[in-house]
Amino acid sequence: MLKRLNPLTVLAAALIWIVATTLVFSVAFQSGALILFAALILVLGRISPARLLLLMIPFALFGFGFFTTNVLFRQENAEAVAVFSQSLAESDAARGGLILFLRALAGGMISLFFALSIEPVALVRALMAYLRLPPRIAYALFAAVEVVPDLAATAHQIRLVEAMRAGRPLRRFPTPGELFRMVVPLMAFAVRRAGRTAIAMEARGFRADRPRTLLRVPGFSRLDLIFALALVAVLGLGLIFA
Amino acid sequence: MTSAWTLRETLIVAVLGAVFAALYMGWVQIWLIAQAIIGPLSMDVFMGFWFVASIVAAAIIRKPGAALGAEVLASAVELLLGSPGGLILVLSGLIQGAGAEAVFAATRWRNYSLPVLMAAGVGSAVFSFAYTWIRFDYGALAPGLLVAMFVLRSVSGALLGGFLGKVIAEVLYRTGVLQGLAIDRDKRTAALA
Repeated sequence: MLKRLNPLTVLAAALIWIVATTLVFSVAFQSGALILFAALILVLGRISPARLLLLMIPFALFGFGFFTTNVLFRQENAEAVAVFSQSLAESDAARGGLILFLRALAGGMISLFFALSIEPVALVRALMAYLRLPPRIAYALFAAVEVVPDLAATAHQIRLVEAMRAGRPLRRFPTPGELFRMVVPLMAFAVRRAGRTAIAMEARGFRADRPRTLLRVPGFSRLDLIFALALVAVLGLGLIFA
Repeated sequence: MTSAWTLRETLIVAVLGAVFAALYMGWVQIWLIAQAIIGPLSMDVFMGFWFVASIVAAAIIRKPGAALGAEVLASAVELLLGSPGGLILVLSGLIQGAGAEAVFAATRWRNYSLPVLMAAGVGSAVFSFAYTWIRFDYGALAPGLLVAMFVLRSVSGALLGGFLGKVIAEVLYRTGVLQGLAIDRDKRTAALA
């Protein structure tokens, strides 16, 4: 169902919620945002809970760093906290750390919701059609995305050549040294490819200053209105009760 | 020299963004391992590498907007490739790119020497520090730790962003693929002078 929404509706909703989670310093609000977007992903996006948990690991690790930093290094003296508070868990440091941990998770969940809800190509088309994203940049983005599979193929070729030169079988995973040596050749490949793509586009009459028509521009429907109003209403309630 | 971008330059910045998007995703894994081993300061130590796209693009294209555009495009490519953190990365990319761009703007986009590139790395570090200050309530942390974090992030920006960016741009130049771009024109002019 999420894919039926206009990508710009999802983008606007996600940005508003990210700003709200950045500004509101409350355990309840951050938890609410986390639960809301997790529910949207699980129910409307039909993602399995196991996959969702797996995708959230980097955000959890990121947030845990802020939790430990706050518990250990908040301005109030940690020793004083230990003496005068019944436990560290009741201290402002732990509470502040918990809020930042939840903020990292909530921000990650909203970002994940956005990534799972939109078709990237449709987003770029919608940006061109409704928000005047210059076609030159939009098509450059498409070209960059197209390059990625070829980068992987070129990286594989480079690894094969290295293995043949060294007279050894291809390793299953590249070593850090192999990865390091691949960086510049891959960039050189990408730059060459960009030059060729530019010539091809110009040869086909691609000009930034010409009016153009767009195919398959995502439209807005009643569903977008309902979705946007619902998320804004929930945000309003969250801000009132936070 | 016009400040308008050619299609080739736009595409080069975008595809470099794609390469750096892949490298950035790999760097996240290394940082997360470091985070588990050396703790909270690891982000500041590793942060500089996430600025390198803007430095390399600026060193090659040498036009207004190259640093900002490269960083935003790199994060946009991550978004288009379906990175879970894509949307937040675009916001971060915008802020980090603006930090580097501010330094190049201060030189009126005329100086791309190593010290300026390293200063651009520091510029990204300063802007990203301000962003994380707001987003993660740095004002509540102990002043000593804040100073350590700021210094580490600035040094990381100068070295992993500025210095490494310069090295990458120079090595890439030696492959010959940057012919006809501003870096090539400037080097030829300097050789003739």
